[in-house]
Amino acid sequence: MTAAAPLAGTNRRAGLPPSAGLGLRREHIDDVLAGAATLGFVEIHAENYMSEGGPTLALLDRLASMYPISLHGVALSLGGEAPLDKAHLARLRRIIDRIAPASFSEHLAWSSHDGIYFNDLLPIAYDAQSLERVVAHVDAAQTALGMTLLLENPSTYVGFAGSSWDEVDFIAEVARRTGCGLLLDINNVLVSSVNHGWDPRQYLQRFPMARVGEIHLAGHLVTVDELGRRLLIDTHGEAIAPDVWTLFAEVIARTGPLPTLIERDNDVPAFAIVAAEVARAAAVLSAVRVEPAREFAR
Amino acid sequence: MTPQSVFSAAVRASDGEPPAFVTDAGGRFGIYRRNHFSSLVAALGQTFPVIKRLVGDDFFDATASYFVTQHGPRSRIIAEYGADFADFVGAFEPAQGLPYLADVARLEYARVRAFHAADHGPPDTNGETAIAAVLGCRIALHPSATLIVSAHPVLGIWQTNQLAAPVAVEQWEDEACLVHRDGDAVVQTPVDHATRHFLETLIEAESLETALLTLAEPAMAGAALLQFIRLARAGALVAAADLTRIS
Repeated sequence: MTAAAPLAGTNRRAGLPPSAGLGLRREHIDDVLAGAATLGFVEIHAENYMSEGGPTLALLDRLASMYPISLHGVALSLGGEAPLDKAHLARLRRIIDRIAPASFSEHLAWSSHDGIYFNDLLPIAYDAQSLERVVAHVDAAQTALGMTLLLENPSTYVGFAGSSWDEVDFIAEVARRTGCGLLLDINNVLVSSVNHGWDPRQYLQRFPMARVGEIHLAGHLVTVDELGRRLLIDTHGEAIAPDVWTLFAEVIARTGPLPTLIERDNDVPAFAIVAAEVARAAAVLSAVRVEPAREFAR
Repeated sequence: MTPQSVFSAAVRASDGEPPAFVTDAGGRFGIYRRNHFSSLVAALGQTFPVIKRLVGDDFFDATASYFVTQHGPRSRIIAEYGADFADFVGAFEPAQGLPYLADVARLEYARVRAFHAADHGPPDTNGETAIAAVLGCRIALHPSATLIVSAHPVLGIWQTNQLAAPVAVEQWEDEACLVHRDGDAVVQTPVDHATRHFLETLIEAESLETALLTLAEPAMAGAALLQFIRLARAGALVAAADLTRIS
């Protein structure tokens, strides 16, 4: 694999530690600030910290003084047809300059179109046109932000008639051409695999693990569609499913320990519940002895 | 129409067909529609908890859903969503029985805005020299501050709905307040009639001094100056010149 040369002026950051971290929810802020669990890092949604002033920025500074920060964007719309929003990039850059996060990640999806923000991660077709666009947008984002981004595989419910690429190949090609790293969301792999009839193990076998800078683990809702077929919905509102834990352990056995995040964004339970999931992920990570390979510049 | 224009329109249309180019067997495209509406309705519920309490969950969700169809978010920062919800609620036919809703919504939106607004220190009002200097300054509302003026007891309604069991608002009369940040806390400072008129004059005036000189009753100038000092120290007013400096 020919990783692209690091961008000029790119900060070579240390990246996230290969330990278990937690996605911060407001319900858990006091626990996290009190150090109520061992967290290797904390992930925050960038868009929640774009305040002009006030207590949010003080919280941001405090978190950054206590933990390595994974800055996770949800609104950059890398898969959008329009060019990236310069004002949004500037807001991201302001946070990056303020706290020097250990990593920045975003989604292979789009969330804005024609001036409307959808507040959701919408799917893209895997075709030549999308590929050119996503590559251009990842390049533009990495240049504007001065750091390598981790691109997250999506969870999807529909496919596109015009898709000519397999999802893993598409993601690998974007990473190869842009030098970006990848965020492997194992719950998304399972959700999309069940919804589209893929084999999640094959997906993970083929995923370019050497580019993975972070893993996400989250819960999903199991339901059926209008035809009675099994359907998984990426809710981030349930406990992490047993199948996701199994796939995670299999991945880690191959790759060695990787930074692993517990995500729970809806129906947020008591801190002890998510802290137990963090501890469980940490146990999986510490049980392996394989040294991870690295193929992207951080 | 580009593919994403078609996809967007289909997500936002409540009963439209899914795009022909997606595989929608089993009605799965509907998940995107539901996510779009439910996540935005939930976001509005977080910004407008008192409105939700006043009208009940079902009415709120229906109103908010209709608002989403009419006013999709223009900002990628979801905390900014709902700037025009108050006007929408005010004009919303099924809500006409609760004429104070729009002003309560204005107050709730002002609270969220205040929380995220830029920091700016108060003008110095300590001592004779500082007061003399500030008299010549043009005064503006702090970036966190919104003046809410209502024909209804908007603050009383908001306050009673912070209680587990709201009690009836005792004095049902017009009310005004300044919503702003005091330190890290978002507060509402009640504003009486005289102060409200002075504030409206003040933020249009060349300077604090000219605002004091235009008071209808010169005898009120001392009280108005004291109000100014109180509101400035509470973080609701700034010297306009300070706003152009990077804080």
